[in-house]
Amino acid sequence: MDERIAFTKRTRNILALVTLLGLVLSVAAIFIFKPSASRIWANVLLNNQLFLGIALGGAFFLAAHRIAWSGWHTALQRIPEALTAFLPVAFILMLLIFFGTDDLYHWSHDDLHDPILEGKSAWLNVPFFFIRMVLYFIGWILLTRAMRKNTDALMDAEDIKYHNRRKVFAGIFLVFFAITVSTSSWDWIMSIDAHWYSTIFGWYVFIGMFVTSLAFMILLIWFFKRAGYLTFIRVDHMHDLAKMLFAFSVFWTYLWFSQYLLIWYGHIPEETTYFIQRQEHFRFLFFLNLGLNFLVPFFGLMKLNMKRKLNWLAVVAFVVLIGHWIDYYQMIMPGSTGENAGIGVLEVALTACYSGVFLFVVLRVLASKPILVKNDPFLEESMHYES
Amino acid sequence: MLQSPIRIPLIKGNKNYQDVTEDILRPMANRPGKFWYLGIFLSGSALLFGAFMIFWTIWKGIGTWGLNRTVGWGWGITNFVWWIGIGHAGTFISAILLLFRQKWRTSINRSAEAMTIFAVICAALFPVIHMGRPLLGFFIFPYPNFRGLWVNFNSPLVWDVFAISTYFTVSLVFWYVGLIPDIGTVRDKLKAGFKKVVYNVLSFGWTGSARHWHRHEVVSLILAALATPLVLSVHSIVSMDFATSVIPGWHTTIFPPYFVAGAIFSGFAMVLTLMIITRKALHLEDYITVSHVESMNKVIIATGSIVGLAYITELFISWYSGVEYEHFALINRATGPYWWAYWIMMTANVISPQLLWIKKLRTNLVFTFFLSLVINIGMWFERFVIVVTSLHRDYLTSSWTMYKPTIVEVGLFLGTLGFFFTAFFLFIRIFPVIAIAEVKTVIKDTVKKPFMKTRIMEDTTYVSVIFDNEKPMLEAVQKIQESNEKILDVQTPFPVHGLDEALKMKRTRIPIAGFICGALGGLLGFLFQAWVFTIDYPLVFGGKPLLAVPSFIPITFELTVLFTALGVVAALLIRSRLKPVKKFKPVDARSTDDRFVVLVDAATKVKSTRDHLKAVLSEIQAVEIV
Repeated sequence: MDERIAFTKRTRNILALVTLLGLVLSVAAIFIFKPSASRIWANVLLNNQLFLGIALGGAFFLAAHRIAWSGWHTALQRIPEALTAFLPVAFILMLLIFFGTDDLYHWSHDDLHDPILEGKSAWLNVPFFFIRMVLYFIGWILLTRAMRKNTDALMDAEDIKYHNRRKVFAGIFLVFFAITVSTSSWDWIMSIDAHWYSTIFGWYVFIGMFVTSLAFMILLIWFFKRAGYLTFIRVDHMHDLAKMLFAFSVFWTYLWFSQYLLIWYGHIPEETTYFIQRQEHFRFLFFLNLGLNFLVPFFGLMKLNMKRKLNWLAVVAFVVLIGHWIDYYQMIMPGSTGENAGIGVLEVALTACYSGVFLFVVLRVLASKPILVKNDPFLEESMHYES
Repeated sequence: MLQSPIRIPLIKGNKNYQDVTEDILRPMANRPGKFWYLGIFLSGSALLFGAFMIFWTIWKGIGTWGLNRTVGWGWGITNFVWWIGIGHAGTFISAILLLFRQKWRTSINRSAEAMTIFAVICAALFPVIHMGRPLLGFFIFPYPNFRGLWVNFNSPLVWDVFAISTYFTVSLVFWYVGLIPDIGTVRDKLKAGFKKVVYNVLSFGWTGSARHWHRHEVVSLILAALATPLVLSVHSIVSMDFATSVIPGWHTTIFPPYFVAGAIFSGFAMVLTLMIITRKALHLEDYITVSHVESMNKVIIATGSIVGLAYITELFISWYSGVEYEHFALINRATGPYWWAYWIMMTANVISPQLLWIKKLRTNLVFTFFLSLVINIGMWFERFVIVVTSLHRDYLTSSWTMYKPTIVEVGLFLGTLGFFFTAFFLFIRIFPVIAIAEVKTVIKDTVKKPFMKTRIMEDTTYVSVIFDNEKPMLEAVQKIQESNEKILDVQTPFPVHGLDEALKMKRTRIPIAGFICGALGGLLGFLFQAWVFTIDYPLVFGGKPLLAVPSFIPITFELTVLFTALGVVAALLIRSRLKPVKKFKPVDARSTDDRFVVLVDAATKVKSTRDHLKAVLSEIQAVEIV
């Protein structure tokens, strides 16, 4: 009942090493290969989005389950919850974009002479852009903090009121998140290609976030189980996570296809430029994106027992994680860096550095309290869960 | 499975299995009341009125409608989309909620699925009669003909033909597969006679055998897994009828998911409207409880808010795009001559469902009923707004015009409403409105009355041991197997959790059959389209390449789903030897009601087997031997 994950000195050292090594290599890559400023900033934005997505996806996972009175996820709820602890760090990292606005966002230039972009300036202007950024983060951080505090309270005291309060937080979070996840992805990603627009874009980014987060959770649990922790998380729980990974990967593909098909079919130059650029100059990655995010989970997790083999599941989750890195790359790089983009030391090292920081924050929070929420009324149900 | 104590029982009134059977079958056995006659009279009259308008439309031509050159799509397509949308709740409830293990769906899935089927029929009417010459409607199917022509697989209207036929077929099959065990229950309750023969045939000789239940459950899950993307695809493809064009207000990428959310939203509203009346009229308050209504209301808030978000996204992006036509189309919706339709839509679909955040209101049946009507109307106006306001002011100001429906169009709409309600009134007389077997699987967690009588019956080739609860039955199965007796079969009124393992049953290979069928369907579908457009009938269309892969995906997907669904159902029927039979002799007619029958092999020695069984089962406390 009081099982805790030990955040040992060794783990800390390894993570610190990964972070430092990633940072050093990134800086070295910048000095040696002299990439364009836009490529550096695009990398920062890519990793910001990737890890922010994992954190927010965790919060969405919890909110959606709590509002639906779900019982099965109770035994593993502190894992997605710990992911959300990264949000304050994500905030600081996202604020760094301030120094790269000029390189990333064409619309922020002073001498535009572009009537269309001038028409958008009521929304796309630097002060309002950052005011919105701050507002999104304040909302996300406060709400997820409240959710975590609430769980802590439920751990210490047996009182149904804490349980009831969770649904309230979940409802507020879902409403706030539904709006901000769209607007933030318009701001941070869609506005890179400042002329281009697509109404589905926010929902597409959101599902990508959620799938990434699921894949990350699966990997984390798999890792802990191998290390001998989390014995109460049964194969049945993993089976359900695998089903969600499967289903939402298919859903992601559906949204990808809807966007692609309608733009391809409509054949309006203002819209098709987005895909033409990606399909012609980033051809390999364009199709790899579909392969890793659709074909691999679809065929890899279709059969029943494939979802229940943890090592295999972890392989698929890892592939999907890489797939969504590529998906963000596809969204961010062509518009900001264009022909100068590439995948080299900088890209790999910076993601490694972010992973180190992310895991450090998440594991610290996870280790600070027992994994099981002792007084959760659904706990028993989850411990005996059969899928 | 263990349940948290804070969960309230889904079915009220401490029902046991027999109560469930009786309560649900009662409305079929009793004579209908005067409200039923009144209802069917009203809906039947509307249906007749509609039938006359169909005749009139075909006789006189589409000129009897209020359409003009600018607004070429009016009430017809609005009604089409509205009905298709209503048809989405049934499959959502029985497929998506099944996958999400929402057990409350068991009380409403049967009727919601029936509504799906009726609604799709209503929807299909409009495109067919809008053809003007419906007798030539078969032209829309790709078949080898003397003119050497093929349909245009690049056209979303053709995708629609495939999507809706597949959706109708799969929904019907899914619904019927779920109905088979319950028809078995009806059959076993009837006395010999004409009715019995009919239900014998309809029940496909269902016995409730453990093997059959095992296959039935696997097939239901596969059908659910297929129906889930199918339900998304259908309304997505409907939305593409609009969104693939370049008409401002129609060409927007959010349409597919937004139409799906809207469909589920409107479908749930219709389910609520009908179920609130049905529960009252058929005295099913214990089965469709306030908490069921509350759960449905939560789906209404969620989908309504998604729809609201989509409206606002569209509005914002139309400004953000900087395309003046886009912007004008959206402003014209809100402030143009059809402003009232827009604001009815906004109020009914976005603002009014937000009231359901208040628990008092979402648990109030009168309020919910009223709100569900408001949403039904609002969602009709949504489609009207999309269709008419986007068309009536097009790029050329000289062709700007207004559209008004004629009495013929109104009559057609009334006619479909009449058909829908007539079909529903007949449905509640012919089939159980609630899935009996499925409800039995959810009450077992909440059963309070202890009732454990058991007896052993003699027969020539087997001895049947009968229980009236699954717990002693499972224990007994264990014991009998340990004692080296051979169990021929176990017949149960619902799939008993853990029985497959107890009988050491091998998992069925039906999923593999499904995979092969699906792969075949998908491959053939794709290759066929590719062959038609690159070799047999190359047609350049809209500047697209001949091998227009994205265009071929929708039909390929539909055929994959269709082949898989038909494949697994065929496999279920063939492997379980289920087929329509005129005469059916059950082992024990109560095995489809509340008894659990274990058949033990006694081919050689009936008496000794019986004595042996008595000895083996003597330890099970609940056993009582008659």
